[in-house]
Amino acid sequence: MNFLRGYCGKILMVNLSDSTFEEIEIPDTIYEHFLSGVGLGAYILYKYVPKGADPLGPDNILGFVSGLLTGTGSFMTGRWMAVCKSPLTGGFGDANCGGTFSPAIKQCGYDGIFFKGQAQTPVMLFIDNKGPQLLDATALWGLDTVATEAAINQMITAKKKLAIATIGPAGEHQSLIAGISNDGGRMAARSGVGTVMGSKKLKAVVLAGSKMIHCENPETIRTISRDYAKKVKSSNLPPMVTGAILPLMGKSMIATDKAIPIDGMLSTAIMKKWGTGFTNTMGMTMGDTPVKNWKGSVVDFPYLKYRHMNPDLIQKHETQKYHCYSCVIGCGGLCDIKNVTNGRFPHTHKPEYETVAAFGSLLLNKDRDSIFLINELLNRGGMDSISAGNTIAFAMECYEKGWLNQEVTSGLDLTWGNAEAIMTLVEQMIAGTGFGAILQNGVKKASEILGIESAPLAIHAGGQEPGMHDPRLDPILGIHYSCDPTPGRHTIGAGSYYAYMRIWEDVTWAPKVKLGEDKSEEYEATNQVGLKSMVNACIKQILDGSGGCFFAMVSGLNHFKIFDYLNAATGWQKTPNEYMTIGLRMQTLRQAFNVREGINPRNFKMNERLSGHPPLKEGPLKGKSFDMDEMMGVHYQFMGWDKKTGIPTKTALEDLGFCDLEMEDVTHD
Amino acid sequence: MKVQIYPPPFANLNALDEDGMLILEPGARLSSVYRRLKIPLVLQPLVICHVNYQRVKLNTQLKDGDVISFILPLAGG
Repeated sequence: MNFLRGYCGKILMVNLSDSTFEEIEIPDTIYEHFLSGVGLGAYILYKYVPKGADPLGPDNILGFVSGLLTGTGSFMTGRWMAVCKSPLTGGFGDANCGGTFSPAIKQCGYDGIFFKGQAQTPVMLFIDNKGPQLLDATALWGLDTVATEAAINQMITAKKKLAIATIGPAGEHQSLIAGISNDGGRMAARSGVGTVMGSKKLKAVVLAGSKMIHCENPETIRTISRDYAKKVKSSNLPPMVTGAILPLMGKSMIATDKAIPIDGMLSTAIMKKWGTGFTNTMGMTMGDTPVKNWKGSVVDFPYLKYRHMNPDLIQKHETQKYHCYSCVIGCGGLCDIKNVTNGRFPHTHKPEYETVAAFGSLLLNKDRDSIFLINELLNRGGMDSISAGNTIAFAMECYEKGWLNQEVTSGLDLTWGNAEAIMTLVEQMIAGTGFGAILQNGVKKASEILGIESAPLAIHAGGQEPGMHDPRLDPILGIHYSCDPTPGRHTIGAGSYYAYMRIWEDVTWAPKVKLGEDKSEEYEATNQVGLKSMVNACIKQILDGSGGCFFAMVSGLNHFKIFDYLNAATGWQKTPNEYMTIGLRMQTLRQAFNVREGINPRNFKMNERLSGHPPLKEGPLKGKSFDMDEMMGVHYQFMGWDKKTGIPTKTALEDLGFCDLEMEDVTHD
Repeated sequence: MKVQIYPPPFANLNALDEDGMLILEPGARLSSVYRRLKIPLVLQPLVICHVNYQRVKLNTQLKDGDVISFILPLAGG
């Protein structure tokens, strides 16, 4: 086994039921088939989670997996993945996060740390160079994520700064939309990964290893990194450019129906200045940002309201910018919020666009200060802001229709835009009390409790709530909301991401976006759309197998040379086309996991409101609609899955090859 | 000579071929790209343009193969 290939060649399996540890060696061929990160995670889950396992039972496995490129000297590759069988969707669950946790996994000598079984009392895993040990965490149970990190730093003395991943109260009482936090509130939020951690009574994973991470050709990696960093460094906005221009940019982008070539590198200048918050106002005018539980538009949340989300106003609170490990963009920031929370919380991470939209326009809430507070509440409580915002939007629409009254809502007036009620409800959801106890498990469960007539108002795909980007603007986004084995996520693929990536310069079969192409063609289930969505799905798996950052990918693969990075790290001499086959295999394995668990892929279709049924009557997306069933079919077809059912075909499974995994249960003639 | 253009959405796209290439006279300057793309005068102060990932002045002389990028925001988060 060669340990100079960017990966460690082994994982740690922790059995929480009997407090034992097992190091499992992973053959090189597994990395060549699935990379690391989400691919290695899918391999382990498929192999070791028994069919039909209860997501919240001892048979489920929760993994923390580093990326193949993490720690090799490559830039923008410091993300870690949490993987498990999702209690939210019943299928493959994963979430990823930046910060400093990903290299710490490898510095302990493992590509991934996996947990099976369930502890009797709260525990935390601690690993340093001497090895792993389980420590009593009873005293930490009940603390929020920030307080937990602080307490652990008091309890444990190590030679290096501890890397800590932890759950908050939401995960402890097994809210189905709980995430895992690291670095003081950065969240791997999706799929209910924090719920599974809570079910195992695993409060925290604490890493302090300092082992070296080796790769095959570090000099080539340094050269690629230097070239990328040089371009990012020189991409800057002039000081006179303010947030006031962002709504104009949004209008200009929606004004043309023609595709234009895009240089994603220059867009990093915007990320450096504002982080993801630039979309707060730009998304309103271009129609990307959902409004009023996805049934409204900028007409319902006009300039006089959305101007409060101008990222310049959020930046005024920013006291410090920060970068994730190996990042050269640095979109993160810390904000001083003492004055907007009456001193309750001194600071919070700069709210991401997703949180601002989910608790702003989606709820018709123009109170920016409330969003700072909610951001910190969710980070500390360990709850997914996308799912929480969508679920409250559902409740507000039910309230508007008179299906809910204050007897049911614990006295809360859920009128659109009532910031006080929203803040109270968030606290209830995190604590699992009051009306929050009904909403804490996400919109699908809430709808099941409130009655069948509320289902059309429950915006989700396969049980998971969608990110804050509207498929009526970009239908390929809807394909990924509905077809990804972990549905509802906005970072898998979209027509716009495809245009930014310029992947056709590397992958010979990827269709080129030509100047002047009619963008309205993306509303039809054509072969071109199917091929683009397939490319998106495959490259995203490669990214998540490598620990790569989404924003590096959309800065353009002509700049972020992920295929060259992988060859330099591993010594493989694979072509981009061969890597895309790996991506296809990873995605197919995740889909096979779902099929084996009895999931009908067609049931992951997102709420019809998101495909324009009925169409919006006003705003930038007025009248836009498409046939989601047809779109899903064409995506399945190009993935090598049955066009009608979404089940991977026998031919596809045989062609791809899955090493020692047993695939008979999912084959389809 | 040919240069690669990543234009803003409001540009005159007819000046470009389907790969976004623009043919210019040898020795042309960046200002001539603005003219050919018909960037409105009123928007010119708001337009952010780099040549080979460096900010340059409008009178910068271009050479064959230069990459001229106008800023466009990406989505996600």
